[in-house]
Amino acid sequence: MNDRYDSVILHFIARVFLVPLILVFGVYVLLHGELSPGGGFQAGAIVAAALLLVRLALGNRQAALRIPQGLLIWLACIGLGIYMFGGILPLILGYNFLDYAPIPVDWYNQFAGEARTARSMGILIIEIGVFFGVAAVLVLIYDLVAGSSRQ
Amino acid sequence: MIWWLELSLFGLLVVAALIALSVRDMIAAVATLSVYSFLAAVLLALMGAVDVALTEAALGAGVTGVFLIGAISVVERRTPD
Repeated sequence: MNDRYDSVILHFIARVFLVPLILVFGVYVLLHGELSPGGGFQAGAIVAAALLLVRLALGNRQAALRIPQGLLIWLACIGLGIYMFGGILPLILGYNFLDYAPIPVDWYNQFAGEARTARSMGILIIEIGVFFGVAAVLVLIYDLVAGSSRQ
Repeated sequence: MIWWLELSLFGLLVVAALIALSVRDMIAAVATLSVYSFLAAVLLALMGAVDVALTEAALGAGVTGVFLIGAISVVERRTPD
């Protein structure tokens, strides 16, 4: 899987059709996680599957969407930071840990013209954090196992 | 609800698990294991647990197969037992 397998059909299907579709579906699953089935963990797994598919189809060296390993570790830590921010923000405002009630959403509703509640906004913040953590760690595991094993 | 569909899917699940255990080629074992995970996801969706089915289809049928193929590319492909 370190080498490029020259097949026009495989490259066209993977790069033009499948990977953008899977990425858009992953973002959809993330943003509708509090209303429909899905959430941060599933969206992270789907986006990581798209990144692994382009690595499998095109080889590790020629693949697009290559991210350095240090940046992947930073992305996972940023996801954990977003999760902790969503948990500690109500604690600062005088409520319990991970209690989403005091999160201010009035400015967002006026800006976007929606009628979000504070709890759905809190769940969305948590799920964005989980999304970054899961996607970055899954891609990092693949890069460590198969990416640099045979140079 | 559709009891014959669930029963046939469950039979295919058992057959896929037995094939994945008994086949010699490791790549074929990984492919059969992905089939097993996908059938389990379909069964979970039929039972109404759509969230668990989405996780099983994304992780069990997608990412786990890729990880196992990556591990096979490091070790040898055929196994004696």
